[in-house]
Formats: sequence, structure tokens, C-alpha cells
Amino acid sequence: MTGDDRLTVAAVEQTTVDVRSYVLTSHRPLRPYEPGSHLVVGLDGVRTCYSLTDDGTAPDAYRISVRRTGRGGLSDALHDTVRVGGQLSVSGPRSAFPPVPHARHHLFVAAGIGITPILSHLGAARRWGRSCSVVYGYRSGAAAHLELVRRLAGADLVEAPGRTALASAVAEAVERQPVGTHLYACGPRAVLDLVTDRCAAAGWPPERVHVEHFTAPDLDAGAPFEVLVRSSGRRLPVPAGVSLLEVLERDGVAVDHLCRTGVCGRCRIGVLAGTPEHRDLVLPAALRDAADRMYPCVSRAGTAELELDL
Amino acid sequence: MTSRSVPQWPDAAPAPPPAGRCWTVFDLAARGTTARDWHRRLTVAGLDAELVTVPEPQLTGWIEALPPAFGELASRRHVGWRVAAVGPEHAVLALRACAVEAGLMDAELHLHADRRTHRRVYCPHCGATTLAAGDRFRCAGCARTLLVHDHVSLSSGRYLGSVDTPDAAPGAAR
Ligand code: FES
Repeated sequence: MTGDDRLTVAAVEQTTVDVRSYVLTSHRPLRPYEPGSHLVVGLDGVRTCYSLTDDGTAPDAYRISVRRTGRGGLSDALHDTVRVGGQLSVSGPRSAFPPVPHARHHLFVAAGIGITPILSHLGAARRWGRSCSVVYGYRSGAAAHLELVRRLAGADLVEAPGRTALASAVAEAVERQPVGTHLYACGPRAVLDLVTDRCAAAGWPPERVHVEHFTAPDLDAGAPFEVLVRSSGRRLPVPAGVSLLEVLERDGVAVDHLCRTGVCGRCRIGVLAGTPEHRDLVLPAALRDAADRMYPCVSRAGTAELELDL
Repeated sequence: MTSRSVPQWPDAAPAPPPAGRCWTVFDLAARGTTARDWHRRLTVAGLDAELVTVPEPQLTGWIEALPPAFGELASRRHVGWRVAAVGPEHAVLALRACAVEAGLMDAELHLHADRRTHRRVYCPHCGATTLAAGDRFRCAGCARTLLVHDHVSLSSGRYLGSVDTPDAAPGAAR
């Protein structure tokens, strides 16, 4: 599948109190995908990325797991409206969190619903005989896919019920990984920060640490600034609390986008002059100072004006 | 096999960054006190550093025994381990090949060649590796006369050789 496609909801399973798993099928063959890939699901004009939980080899269905947040949004809408036999508009799969091919060992760290891409990685590691171990942090009684993770990981699983247990399990794990290990972590920002801090303290080069955010941080409204659109020569004011992406759209400047939360990297645009203030989760740490590009769905300006390559 | 042009080394050896958790510094018959200086710097920075010294007469034998020995050393280390090495290029490149084979990445290696005396050259005809002093040499495996090319395999640390033909000049093939 390349563009949007409609898939049939073949099954819905209540995985935990607030997580539901959806099995999506098609009459057409489904494209295989790399472990750690996600599907972009659209409903009533809103689109969100969900990790595929299988290993991606010869898929008979696409499986995603969705946690109800209680804050509205697409995840809650899926819980409320999608039933077996219904259809969902999806695009992908897209790979944004792939395994490193030459890794000698894979250490997977998951917190909460962050288990979804990790489950995909774990399945692939088992299928292809790659060495791996798993640290899974969860709230007691609310661990999605726990039985499957236990079955796949066996003795290579460390379970961490609660944040404190997870912090010590991570601290311990990063101290004793064999040379050549790559670490993959998915969870809320606080857990990912903990993982990267612990790795840095244990002397891991950042190249070995791969994280996937599943929630974007809440951002403040930011200060107003102005942009100059190169092609039209038009100057547009960006008020506080309004994203640059919205301003561009309202002015009829088409910018491809997806998540609108600085996670997917789709809305990248070029910057010709001025300094962007990066607020996305896409740019790697080494590129946080980059002045030649930005993600306008969340990022703003560090200077009074930006000139955009649009 | 990944290959690239001959590595360029700066004249003065840059000091290793005080990164990682523990270091092994290899003094591969290095000139002067570079390896000892590196070792001292790392220790002063509070890192756990060991110094392995290989004297010049033992270097060739040490390189031959390196693949299993390095693998064994790496199996006793964890992520956070860094490796530094200084000495003649053929020894440094051989060590790099073993380090990459063991799973280390460039970010975990700090290497410097202080001279280029010999080159380890791969013969594409018989597969043998010869330690060659000049641009033209006799293959230790098949006794053909070979030319050294300006290409190094990063995975094996060897230069590429080819049969000497009348119109081939050393370093001409790319
Ligand atoms: S739309 Fe996803 S990063 Fe901007």
C-alpha cells in the first residue's frame, strides 16, 4: 500500500482495561514491513501513528494496539466507534524505528503501551535468531501483551512493575550489555530520558541508543514571529499559540504533514535565513543546532524572522 | 567488502576524548610517549584505563594472533568500553578490523597511525595476505608479483593488490 487504503477490522480484542488490539485485513495482499514500523490511521480527518505489533514477515493482517487516553483524540475515538466489520483508512506501513543490522545483541526497553513496537522487534529477533533481551515496565494489572512477551522472551525478560522498578532494571541492564549491543526504547518521555541518561552515564555512545516517542510533550504557546515565504515574497505573522504550519496552510501554502505533534518528520521545510527554535522530537541531538530545516507543526523561531524555502 | 581510499592521518596524534566507561590503550610499537600520555590522560579523567604495550619485534606475530585474542578480550567487556591504538598503520588497521568484527563502532575507537612502514595487502588471486614494504612485492601465497592499490578494506584492514602489468603504475588503479 502506498497511499491511503481501506482495511477491514477483522477482530477487536480488549487486551487490558484500557488497551484494545485491532486486527486489520484486506482482500489484497498486505505488504511486509520492518520490525518497529507503524501504520498511520485516519478517522474523520485526524491521523495518528500506531506501531504494528507483529514481526512484519508475510503479514496475514496488520495488528495495532491502542490505549484509551481519556483525553479525547483519535485513540479514544477508535475505542468508541470502531467495531468488527468496520473499515479504517490507513497508510503505511512506515519504518522509522528499524533494528540495526550489525548489532551483536539487542536490548529492548518498553514502558506501558510502548511495548507495541518492542513486541514487533522481539518477534523478529526470535524469528531470525538474533540475540536479544527485554526490560518491560508496566503498571500492575495493566501490562499489554504480557503473556506473549513472556512466551517470546522467556528467560531474557526482566519485568518491572512500576516506575521505580523500571529505573533500577534499566540502570542495571545498561551496565552489563555485551560489546556491540544496540538499545531500543519506547515509552513516555520521562522513561526515554531516564534511558538516555543511564546510557550516557554508563559510557554508551549515543549511536547505540534508539528511542521512539509515543507521546509528544505539551508545548507552550511560544512568542510571535514573522516568516518570509521565498517563492511568493509574502510576509506572514505567526501569533503566539498558533503553529507555523497552520499559518502556512491558511495562506494557501501546502506543506505535507501527518502527526502535527513534531513526531513523524513529515512536515520538514527548508530555512534560508534566521534561526529556528526546534521543538520537535525528530531531529537527533547532534542536529539540534541545525538552522537549515525545521518542522513547522511545532517548531518556532529563535529570531524575529525566518525566511522559508517554500 | 567496504573499501575507501587510503586513510589520512594528522601529523600529531589527537588525544582521546574522556568518554566511555573504561579504555584499553594499545601501544603498538608507537613512537615517543603518545600511548602512555593517552593512558595517563584517561586515568586522570577518572576513567578506568589499561595499557597494552607491544614491542616492535613482536608486532607481526601479535597481529597474526589478534583476531581470536581481540574477540576474547571483547567478550569480557561491556558497552561503555573504548579502544585506543597508536603505532604503524598496518597494525592500527588490523586492530580496527578486529574491533569492528567484535561489534565496536567508530565512536568507540580512537586510532592514530604515526607512520606507514608496511602495508598488509590482499591478493585477489590466491587470497593470501602479504606484509609488503614497497609498492611492488611478491605475494606470499602464489608468488605473483603484485602492485599495491590505493584502496583499503575497512573490514579487513588490508590494501588491495593486483597483478603487475607493464602499463600499471603503483597506486594508479582506483
Ligand atoms: S507533521 Fe509530523 S513532525 Fe510535523
